[in-house]
Amino acid sequence: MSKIVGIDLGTTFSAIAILDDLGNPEVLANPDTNSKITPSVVYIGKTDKVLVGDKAKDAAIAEPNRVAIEVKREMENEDVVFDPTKGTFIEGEKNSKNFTPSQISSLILSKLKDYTTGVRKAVITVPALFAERARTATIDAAKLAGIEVLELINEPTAAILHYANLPGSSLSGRILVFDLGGGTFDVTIAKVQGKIVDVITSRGDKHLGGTDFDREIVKLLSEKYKKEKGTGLNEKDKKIQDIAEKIKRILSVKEKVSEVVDGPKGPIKIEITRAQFEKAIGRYLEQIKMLVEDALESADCTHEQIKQTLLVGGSTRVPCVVETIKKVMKKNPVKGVNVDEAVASGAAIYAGLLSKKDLNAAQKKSLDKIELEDVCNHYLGTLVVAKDHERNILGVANKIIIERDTKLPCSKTVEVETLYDGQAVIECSVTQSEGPEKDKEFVTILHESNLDLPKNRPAGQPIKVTYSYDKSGTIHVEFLDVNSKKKYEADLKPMGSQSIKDLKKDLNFDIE
Amino acid sequence: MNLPLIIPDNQITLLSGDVWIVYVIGIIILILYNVFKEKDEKNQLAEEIASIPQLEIKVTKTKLPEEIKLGPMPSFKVEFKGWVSHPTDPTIKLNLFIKDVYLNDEGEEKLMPVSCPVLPDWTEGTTRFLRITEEINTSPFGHFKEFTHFKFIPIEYLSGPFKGKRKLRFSLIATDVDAQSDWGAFSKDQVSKIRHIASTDIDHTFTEVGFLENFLNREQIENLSIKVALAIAASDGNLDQKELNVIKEWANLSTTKLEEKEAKEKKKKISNFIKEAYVEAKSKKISVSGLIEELNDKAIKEQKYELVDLLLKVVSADDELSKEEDVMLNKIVKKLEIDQKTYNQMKNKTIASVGKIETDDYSSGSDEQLLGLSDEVTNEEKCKELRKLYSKWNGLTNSSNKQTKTRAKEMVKKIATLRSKYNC
Repeated sequence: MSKIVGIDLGTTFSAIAILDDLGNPEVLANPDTNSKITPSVVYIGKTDKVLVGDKAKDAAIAEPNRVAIEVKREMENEDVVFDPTKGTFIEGEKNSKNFTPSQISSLILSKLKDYTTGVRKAVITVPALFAERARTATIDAAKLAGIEVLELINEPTAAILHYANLPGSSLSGRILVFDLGGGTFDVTIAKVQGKIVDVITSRGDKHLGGTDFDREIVKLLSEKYKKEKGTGLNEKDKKIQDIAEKIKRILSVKEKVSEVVDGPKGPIKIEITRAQFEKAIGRYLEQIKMLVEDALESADCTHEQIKQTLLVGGSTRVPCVVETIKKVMKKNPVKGVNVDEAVASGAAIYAGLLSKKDLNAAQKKSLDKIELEDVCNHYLGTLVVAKDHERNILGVANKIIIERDTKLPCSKTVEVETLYDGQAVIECSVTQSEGPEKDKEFVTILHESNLDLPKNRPAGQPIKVTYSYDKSGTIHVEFLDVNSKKKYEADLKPMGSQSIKDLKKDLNFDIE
Repeated sequence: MNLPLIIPDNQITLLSGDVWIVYVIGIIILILYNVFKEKDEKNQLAEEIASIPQLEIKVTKTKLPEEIKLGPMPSFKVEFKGWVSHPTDPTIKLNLFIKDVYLNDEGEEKLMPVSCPVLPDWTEGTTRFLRITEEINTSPFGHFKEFTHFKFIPIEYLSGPFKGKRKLRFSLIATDVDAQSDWGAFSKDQVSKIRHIASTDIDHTFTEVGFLENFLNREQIENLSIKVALAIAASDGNLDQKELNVIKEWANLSTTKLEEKEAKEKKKKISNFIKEAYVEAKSKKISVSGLIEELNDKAIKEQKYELVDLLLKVVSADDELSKEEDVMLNKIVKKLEIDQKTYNQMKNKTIASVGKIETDDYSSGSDEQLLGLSDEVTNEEKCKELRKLYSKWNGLTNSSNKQTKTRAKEMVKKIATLRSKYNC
């Protein structure tokens, strides 16, 4: 029987969870290491050998250039490839010697899939504000790994599902989920009543996580090395990066740490204090504060109205991160749940909800009372010619049709009209933006097409534009010429960009 | 019928003495006939108009009420009372015109329509002159005993022909539904469709330059804009050819609608002007504050934004926004008294697209300049503004445009660093 799983495809660590026979999520351990989290690190050997996880990390010491890290951050970039001769993602065309971010991610997914048997379908988690291209690339990666994506779910939403479903959990009221992982940060506010989760808003930063903290430590080490030896360290050196990560972990429990660092002018012992580290990551903490404040404002509530703050993600172990949360929320966050596994567990629960017919009676009963209401995480609009009253000019502008944080499913209609006499065609564009952007330069165009209109009509013919957004993430768009009843319709859903055949090229590896 | 009053010279020479006198007398009689006929027609028209059952109009200055969700903007409240009836039709159209009352050189009272560039629905269409119409159901005995609300007209939406203290005539004219006005008035053949008329005068001061004055000053404003653009281009000590090309291209836009010969002449004129101004700009002899003062006196808001748009193109022409350019740009914008929010939106596009931004470390205040952060607000307000800016630029890190995405990441860093500085 095929298994339905939830996968947390993280920047630095990934995890896979299934629903056990009783309907409880269970994070699967890597059979080689018995660890439930797997480093999102891929080693591509000169032969067709591929290592994923801890073994890849180990291989990085000997052959750093053949190891790809933080691939999740590259998922939104269409024109980058991993070059195993340089050890980095570079801009360039795909060829037989390099690898797209989707291909690298597929190797991680293939590894996770092998922790159990019969994995065919999955719910994969993504950051709340993951770009459309990154979502598409994630689906491509799953296809390559032989996994059908049931749905992509936002990481904090998955986490809150997990918390709400914990045995003995009695969450109620407004809950704030604070998800700081290796590469991304998300904050979500939801109304929870027992097992009913009603998401109100999500905010996030895709470039804020533990690896950014590591980089700041690398900079500190380099500055100190330079002060003593006159020359800095190679900040891209994976050994230095590993030391930085280690220092970060130690500083979570100690006030200072000393490590031997081997640089171009020999090894020296460098001490880093917690205060130095906290100063170095100050701007990231500020970003975190801004996002939490923004989420509170969007949810139209104050910190007093938030019943609990839940922590998710490995980087919430950093003490000053917890202090920042306390400062903004004026109360201690909830502790006691595994911050590394919550997202994958939530994804498994959601996968179960989507495949109820495949569940056994106990699993069905376990998920019986769980309900999830999500919101639209972006602004969806269309391009129109509009008047800028302040500047008194006509120009192309983005007209928002569905506002961010609108409850799903939703359907909204706006009426526009033809611009000039005899207009025979209208451009039907679907835009997406994180903010309420009016400027077309600042929106992403998800879809474009034309609708032909009857000729020889005066200007001002009404056109109804309707967007319907369902819970699975499908956006149905309709541009209707009211008088002639002619219309253009399309369904937009992250589908993956390429055929499996194209994706599979150059990817016949033996994965360990 | 009017006869031609000019006789070709060659015909005069062909006439003999007596015939000539008879001819002249004949012409005088004809002229007098025409004058009296015209007067008679005017009197008839006046009588006809006077016989139209009267309507009353009341105009007061007030603020927009809350239910009109445009904020408490100062506006004219127009009300009417009296007859609004039609002998045969169930519907009648109310037309509201606003005209500037001025005296011509002969001391005669003349009327010039006020325009409404913001709302096309409130204009005649092609002329942009204000005409607000509304069809109302009526009967042959339609009469409004009390003053009844007609419209609120936000003063900001109006553009007069002249700046300063003016007398405005509000005319409310009830007509047949198919009556058409042109250039703010009804032609003779439409008079029979007028059912009621009312008008009243209101004193009002237009703070913006009038559209008529502006039309006459257009070339001067273009020249002033060119000089300001050259000054900003030279502000970093280097007047780049690319910057100059942007200015030339902008200046030549005004020739696109001209006939070929006229366009050629104007282009030559522009070229000469730019050459002279270029020398002044290079030797830093241009007084920007003087130019802005003159622009404030002569240019309308639209032209000020055109200038800002030009300046943004100039500063980004060399793919780098220098500190000096940014400082000068902000000073100019402040002096031009345009909406800071609109300017910030315009500037953000430049920030996102320019290859390099030159700023100091955050202690020098150049990042605040770049972000358009006012130094006249409290730190708390700055923190709030920075959060809004972060929200915008953080969202743009998802942009499909690589340049915008890279710049957005830089801006996020700058914003977060400033937040730390202000202890938010």
